[in-house]
Amino acid sequence: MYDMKKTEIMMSIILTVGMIISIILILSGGILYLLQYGNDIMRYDSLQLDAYKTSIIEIWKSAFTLSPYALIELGIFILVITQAVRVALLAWYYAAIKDTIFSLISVFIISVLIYSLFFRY
Amino acid sequence: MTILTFSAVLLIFSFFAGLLGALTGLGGGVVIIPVLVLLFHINIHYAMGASLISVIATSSGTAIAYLREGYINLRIGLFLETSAVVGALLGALLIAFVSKSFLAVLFSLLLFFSAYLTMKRKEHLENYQTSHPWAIALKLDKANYHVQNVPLALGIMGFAGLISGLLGIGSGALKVLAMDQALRLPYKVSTTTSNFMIGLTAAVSVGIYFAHGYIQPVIVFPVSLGVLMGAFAGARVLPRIHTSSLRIIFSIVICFMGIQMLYKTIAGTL
Repeated sequence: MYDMKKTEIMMSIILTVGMIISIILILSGGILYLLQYGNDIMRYDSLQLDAYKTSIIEIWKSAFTLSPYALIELGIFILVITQAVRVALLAWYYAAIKDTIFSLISVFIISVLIYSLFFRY
Repeated sequence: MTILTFSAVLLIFSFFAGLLGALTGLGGGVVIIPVLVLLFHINIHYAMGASLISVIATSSGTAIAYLREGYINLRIGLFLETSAVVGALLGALLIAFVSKSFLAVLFSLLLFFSAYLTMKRKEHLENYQTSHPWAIALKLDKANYHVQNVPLALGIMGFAGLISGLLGIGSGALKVLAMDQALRLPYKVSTTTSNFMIGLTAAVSVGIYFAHGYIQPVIVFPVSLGVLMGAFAGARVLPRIHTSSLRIIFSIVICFMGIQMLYKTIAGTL
């Protein structure tokens, strides 16, 4: 039932789905952005303003505005969150085979990930 | 230069970054940072933000293929990651007490020395009969290889975490080193397991970069797409590349990283 091969296959599926969703979001955001501004001259100083300060929670809130930036940021967010999901899958697997040390290790890593993504500013 | 040209040029460079990252286990930052900083004169913080995203993209883009090929050792990856995470948290606390330039010089010397060690190891002449007792207790070894000095690897990983907490980069090189030199794993197991881990380490730092506004969508969108494509390509190529060629590529890349570190120290942009 709980063999490693199945877990690895599940992890591949999670990674593939996560990547496809984020590629679609980033690509559509990028194309929208280029359609609007593609022929403008690049001004590097405008890239480096404070205006982009954001947080994971704000990305989620602004995602539904469907602006190019929001789409790209949501795509990046999904790419990042996939990292936590794959460790969560391992935690579940090690718990299922009653490997205490490794399920604790996985839980520890997820906790640090969640703490630093959502609660550290 | 128009925005379209900028995005296209960045996309091409990012493809090579992803390719190189997938082969070496280092992520794409070693290419992305100098391209953004030296070619486009973008502030180092934004370059590091883009670099973090490129590391996560490489890690995700290669993991599927490397899992399927059976290279990645998940238990070793998770076990070593704990020590890196603790090191990274400590590093963030120590930031006020340690001289960054001293650490950068130390780290670049360490990179040159790692390149030498990487080239020196002759895997095919080694013949370990058994694994380190900790490795046996934690079931880290596999049927086709043994696992050696676990405590030393933990020490190197803790230091790697400390360095990345303090300097924001460079943990990938020490991860590969810990597995190659301390655990004495087959080289492709070391680089692919490192690829699996670096995404987790980078994800830990990414929240802070978002909060400071250093993840700039206009820079990050060509970077992430290019790196993902490059990483897919690299993961397909890896099984066909000979280990000794990979060692040479890795050594060149980390020497280049060492030079970058020294340059940054001298230019005062650390």
